[in-house]
Amino acid sequence: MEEMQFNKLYNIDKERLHSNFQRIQNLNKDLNSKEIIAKFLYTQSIGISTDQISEILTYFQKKLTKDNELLDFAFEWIRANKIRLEYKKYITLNDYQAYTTALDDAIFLFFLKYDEFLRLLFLSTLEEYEFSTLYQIIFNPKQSESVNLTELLEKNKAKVQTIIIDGEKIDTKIYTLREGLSDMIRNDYNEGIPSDIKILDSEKQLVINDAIEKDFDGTMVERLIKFYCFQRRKIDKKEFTMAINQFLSSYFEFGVFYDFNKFKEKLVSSFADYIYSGLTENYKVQSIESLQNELNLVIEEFEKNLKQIRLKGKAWIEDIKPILQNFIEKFIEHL
Amino acid sequence: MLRKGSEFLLGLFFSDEQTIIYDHIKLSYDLPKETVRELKSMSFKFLGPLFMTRSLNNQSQWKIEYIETSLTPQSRTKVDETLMQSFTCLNTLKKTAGYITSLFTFIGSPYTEDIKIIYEKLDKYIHPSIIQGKLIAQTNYDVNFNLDLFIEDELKRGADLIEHTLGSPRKIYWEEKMAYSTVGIIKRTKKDGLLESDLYTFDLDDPLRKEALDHIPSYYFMGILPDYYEKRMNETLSLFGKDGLYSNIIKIKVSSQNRVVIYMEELVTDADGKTSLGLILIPDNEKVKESRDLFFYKKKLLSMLNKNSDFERSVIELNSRINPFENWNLNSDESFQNIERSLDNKLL
Repeated sequence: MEEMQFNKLYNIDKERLHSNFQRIQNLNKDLNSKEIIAKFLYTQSIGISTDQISEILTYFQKKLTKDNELLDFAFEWIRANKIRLEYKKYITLNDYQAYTTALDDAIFLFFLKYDEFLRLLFLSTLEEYEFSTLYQIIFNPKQSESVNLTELLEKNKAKVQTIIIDGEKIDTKIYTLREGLSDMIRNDYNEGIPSDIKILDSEKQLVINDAIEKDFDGTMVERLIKFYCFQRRKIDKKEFTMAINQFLSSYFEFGVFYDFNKFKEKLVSSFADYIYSGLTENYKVQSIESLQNELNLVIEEFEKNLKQIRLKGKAWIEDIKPILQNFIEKFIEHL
Repeated sequence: MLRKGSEFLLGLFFSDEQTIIYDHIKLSYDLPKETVRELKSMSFKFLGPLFMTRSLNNQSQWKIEYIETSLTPQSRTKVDETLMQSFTCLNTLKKTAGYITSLFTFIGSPYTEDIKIIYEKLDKYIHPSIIQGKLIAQTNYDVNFNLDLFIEDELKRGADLIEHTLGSPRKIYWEEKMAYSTVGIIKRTKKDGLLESDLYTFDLDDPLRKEALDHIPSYYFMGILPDYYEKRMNETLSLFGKDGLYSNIIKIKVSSQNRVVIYMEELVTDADGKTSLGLILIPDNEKVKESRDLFFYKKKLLSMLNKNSDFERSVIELNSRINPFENWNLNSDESFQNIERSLDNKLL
């Protein structure tokens, strides 16, 4: 019931995630299941290295109930990222009088119900400081510094207590949430409306919002590659343009400003991912990592000539479209 | 968020098992200091019936969740969308470690507020945060911990959180589309300053009278609610310097575990005064089943208030078992004692 409610609220496409996971599993048969999940999470733009993800998975694996597996935890980590995006969008659009109001409002609207749901994954013996640590990890902004699990646990242990009265654990989840999420919400609150707000129309005083992170959808790219692998038919330029357009438009929105550094990694990873998943087994002559490296080189070249690091969504689509189109055309040529 | 310059008042009260009451009041305008001092007694008047519900004979833990009213200005010359037009009271009761705490708020605002979201903020966030914080501090045996300051701080945060919600668009919730049945009708008239209230319900020998008692706190309690709270709200408005505004009950929600009672009211005013009609509604069950939603009842009440409407006929249309010819007076202690002895008596 709880899961149904959450899927409705913050839907994650488990089927697609499963197939992504299986693809990674098939490509990395030499790795153990934890390493595969870490790699899978890394490709989902979790924002920290696979080693750090592995360390976190190792710690929390022991704390899962017997009905839940590490992959369930990984899916929730992905869902948490989605919730963070929704929360960030909300908090930047709202005008709060005080930081505490932003904190209380965000916890009430986004994290309180999810906390109840997330707790079902873990054993009842999981301490409150472990929960607050977990929130700091799974709701961690992608651009943040690396995560030191031991340090985080120690820090939280000193601040967040588990209270047991007459052998019964007392509900103190609001304080756990406040402690676990306060730094993140404070930073987002202080960030507020970006300093470089653009006034488009001086009469209308139209204010443009900052970019809201979301995923690239490259299903047309994937289909196009697959189609080529099966039919070996020449692909029309228009079809390439359409696929690239769909890929870029799924991420960039008209009128919204985007910072290049904030999306380039995601762009490379998603584009390579969709190309790779379109390839049939006989065409998978190179690894996804080497494909990413090739794409990285092209993007770095593009970055060198970049005059403005921050542009509107439509401008990015126009600028990046020929780069990606050229890349995919050449890629197919060499298949 | 409320529009800039909007008029509002917001009071948040917390009471613990020793009936110590903490409060935090926010206003969009200034009040004289002596008035603020008087406000302290206001919470006792509001919370009084809440404690009364706990002492009901049937042992059930009934609570008033909310009372929603609209505001009528004495003179209609000034029309301004930033002026207060609704007044709402919300209350949550919680039993923790054997004792009961209450968190209560009243809100005056220019909008019809989304009561459900405000209630959830009180019930799921503000109230638990006070209880949880108190437990953490008590367990730590922190000598520097000041309970009064802590609760006052939490109430301030809570009031800020509620204020931030004010002015949000109101949604339609499934509760409003649920099927309800009428178990009582209250007719209230105010002419030349005199208030006359009557309750119409099942006959004493009708088994539905006893059946309904399993779904409502009591006929006595439902009968006293509208007059009592309308009076309290008018006093509060006057205390807040809003003498020119009068409250009119729109809806009251009372609940106990899985049981819910809705009292909804509509009114007409004329040169002599006003006439209100209210329905006591319970969700459909096997024995009392009319299957109509709250929108139907609202329309029905409005049609019943039409001068040409036949009251008796409309009552029978609402629930054919309710007797429209026998009224239970709600104007004196004696009449309420009579209700308690007869209507509320399951042995009769």
